[in-house]
Amino acid sequence: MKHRLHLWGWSLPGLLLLAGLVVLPALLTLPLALLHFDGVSAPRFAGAENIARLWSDPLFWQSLSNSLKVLFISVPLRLLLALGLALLLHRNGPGIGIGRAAALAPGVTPDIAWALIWLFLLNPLYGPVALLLPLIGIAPDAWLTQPGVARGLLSFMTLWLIGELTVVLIAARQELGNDVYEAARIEGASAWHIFTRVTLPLLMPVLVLLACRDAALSFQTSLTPALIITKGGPQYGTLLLPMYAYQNGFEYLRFGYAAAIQLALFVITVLLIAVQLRWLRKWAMQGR
Amino acid sequence: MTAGLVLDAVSVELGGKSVLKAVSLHVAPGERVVLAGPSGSGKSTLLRAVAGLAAVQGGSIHIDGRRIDTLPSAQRDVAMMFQSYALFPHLSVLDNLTFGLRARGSSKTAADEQAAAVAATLGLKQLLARKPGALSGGERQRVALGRALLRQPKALLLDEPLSSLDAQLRTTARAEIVRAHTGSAAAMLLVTHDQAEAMALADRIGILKDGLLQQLAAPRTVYARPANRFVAQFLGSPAMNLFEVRLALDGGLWWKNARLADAVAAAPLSKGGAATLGLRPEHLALPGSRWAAASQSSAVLQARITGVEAGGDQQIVWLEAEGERVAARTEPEWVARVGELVPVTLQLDPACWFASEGEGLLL
Repeated sequence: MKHRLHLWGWSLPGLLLLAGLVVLPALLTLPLALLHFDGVSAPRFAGAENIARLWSDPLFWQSLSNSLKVLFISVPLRLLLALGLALLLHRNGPGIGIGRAAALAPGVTPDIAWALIWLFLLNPLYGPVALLLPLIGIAPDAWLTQPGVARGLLSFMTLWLIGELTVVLIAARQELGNDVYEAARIEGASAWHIFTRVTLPLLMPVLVLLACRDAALSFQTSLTPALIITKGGPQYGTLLLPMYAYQNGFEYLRFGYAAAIQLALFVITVLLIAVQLRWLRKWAMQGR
Repeated sequence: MTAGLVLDAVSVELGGKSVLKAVSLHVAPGERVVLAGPSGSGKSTLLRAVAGLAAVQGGSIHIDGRRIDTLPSAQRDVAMMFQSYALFPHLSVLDNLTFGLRARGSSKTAADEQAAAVAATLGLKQLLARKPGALSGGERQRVALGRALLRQPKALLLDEPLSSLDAQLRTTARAEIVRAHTGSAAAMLLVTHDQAEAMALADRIGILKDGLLQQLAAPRTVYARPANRFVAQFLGSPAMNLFEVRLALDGGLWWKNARLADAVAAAPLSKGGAATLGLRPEHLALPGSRWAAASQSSAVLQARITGVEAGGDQQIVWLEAEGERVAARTEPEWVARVGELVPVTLQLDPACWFASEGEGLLL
């Protein structure tokens, strides 16, 4: 009993913070979306006005499309990279700990910190990465003028956030055991055959799960770099959904409308995961 | 060129520890050699060395005259059945069976045809579409066996193939392995720690201890004429009784303070010498037992009955003499009275004599 009390004692502050900062605002989103509220004057009831306005707001559709584009580029690439790293790092050997730590480190670095580092790296005048861009045929300041390049860079930056994916995949690979791999070797399977016919299908359930989680997370993790580095530009090219909500709420003080955007984001996330689950599960069943 | 699988002075080290020490053996095409030994004796390592899963540090391995210990697993023309079966959980039985053929570039139709033939002999036809998770233990075992047989490898390696089955299934599965292998030209090397399995499956049994091959001979020979004390005690349940005996100057045979016989016809020890007398429990005849076979040379030991283990087709009578436990085997009807002192006839004709110094068999 005393032990229980201790547990509650230690976790209560964290739980309170979580409730106050995450759960409560999340729950308040729905009622807030039904109001006109600028944070100064008294809120007015808006009914479905905010939500209806989403339909006719070109910037909403633009930001949704941007978010999806970033997601469709970065999520598969992140999974692929993490899978590759996991297959390199799942064995035990000298220096492997350093490799695993290096894979995990960017993921535990605060968003704002790495976003600022990228801002420096991409500076068209002296940023080392920007100066390398011409090597692949991109002007060092193209990300400031071309929406597509800016979105591409934004997706590229998030490719470093694969620490957790890699750790989970390393664990999943180690779970598979050696026997089937030894059997496959004796049966004469090449490395590629083993990868496509053994490793990939056996890891598929974990990959499906990670794809869903990463897609949901992708909407959120892309906010910070968009806010710090590209600020939604050029030409709304990196205006992502969470950023549009942020601007509406905290720059234009349209809290009701911001809540409606968040609500849309939530619904879209749920839909996206549902579709992915169905589609990937089907593929995992037949795709052999 | 020697046909079949030939191991010549094969040594294997794992993590700096010597696991196999210059093991030599030969398995002819179509022959079944069973390696038995306690855990850690190196028997599984030997299989893994042949399969290419463990590196060989010394000696060589040949199949049909072709040296294979320097080749990758895939090129050795061996198949292996794992203790865990190592079936691919995401593939159907059919795909498990044909995995090797498909990996080697066989067309799907050709591979499926071969699989159908093997599935028919192993009774897997109805299961081809199922996944391993939906199979019973015995069915999985047959799939693993089928997968190993399908490519018709030159050497067939089976690592404890029956240890995950329950006792009932094990006996039928044993017969199944023999049936599936009969007519095949594959040299079969099977590893087990179960001596009954070893006796039942083997054309020849090899006994391993601490990485050394102790004896390699027909099951009957290994049982009746074990090469040394270790083999004598490893095979048989209960193990062979060992008596440290001396031959007195007047020709009498003594064990501790008991005079067993006034004279011994054929004993490989001189007067005043010592040796170890090994007798299987069935060679200790209890008074009135129907199983007491005639023996030209015999000795008598006074022993007290301390316990009886009933078995359906036999019984083990535990005796105590000279402060040691001795086992005798009789027919199940023989009435044993615990506590009774009985004269036990030691049949010396089938006895094994081991040197007192060292381990080896004298006669």
